[in-house]
Amino acid sequence: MQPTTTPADPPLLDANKLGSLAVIGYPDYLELLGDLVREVPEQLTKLKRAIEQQSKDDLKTTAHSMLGILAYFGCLAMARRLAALEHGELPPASQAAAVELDLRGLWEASLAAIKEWEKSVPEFAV
Amino acid sequence: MKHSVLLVDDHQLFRRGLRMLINTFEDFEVVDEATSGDEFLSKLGRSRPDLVMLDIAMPGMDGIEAAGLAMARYPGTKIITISMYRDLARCDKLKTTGVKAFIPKTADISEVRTAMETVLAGGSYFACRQAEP
Repeated sequence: MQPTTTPADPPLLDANKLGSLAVIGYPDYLELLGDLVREVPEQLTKLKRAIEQQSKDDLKTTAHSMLGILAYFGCLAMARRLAALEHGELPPASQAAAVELDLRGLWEASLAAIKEWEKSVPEFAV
Repeated sequence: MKHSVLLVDDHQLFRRGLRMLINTFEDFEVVDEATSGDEFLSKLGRSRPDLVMLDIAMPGMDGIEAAGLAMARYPGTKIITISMYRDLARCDKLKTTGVKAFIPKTADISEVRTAMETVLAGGSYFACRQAEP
């Protein structure tokens, strides 16, 4: 599924921030990325549940928690979408699945962009 | 001898990533971590790191409250606050607590390092701007 983005949307990734990640070295970077790849889908499920249960507190907490680590990985577009969820109106319960699906698509696109970026990092060449 | 750093953030993955980043700096080393404002104050009471990196948004006692208490109990503690949001109003509030710096969680390696070196040298570094619409 393609994420719902338009040409006017910000870029998926912050290249500067990603560049900082290269400094920690490939093994540590892979370890962190692996944890992120495991954590994001779990958090998206929590987010969906929060909307289904109409819990604004749970939605804010989950969105904010995801924001931090996604920002660390330079996932700009995801961070902006989650910030909007954190500070906006609670979506109706009927929208829970659609919100989750949209975010999952954006996450998959972001992850693909990260993998593409990895190829350009000389320190990561194996 | 490396300058000691205490990390305070409730998110384990973010703490690990920041620890890895800071430990690449030759002159800094993360010596301890805390996951809450209460744990931070408890650890500060036992040993004084050269620098504290403190997340603002934490469940229970948030970073602003924790920073205020830390500065009141242990004046001279050098604290760099971190948050996703970098609006001027937040920074103004932080300055009243006595913290010396603020950087966003999106800060790249050079900004993290600049903030740490500036605060260690006795200066201030607040990377704030007008709130985005």
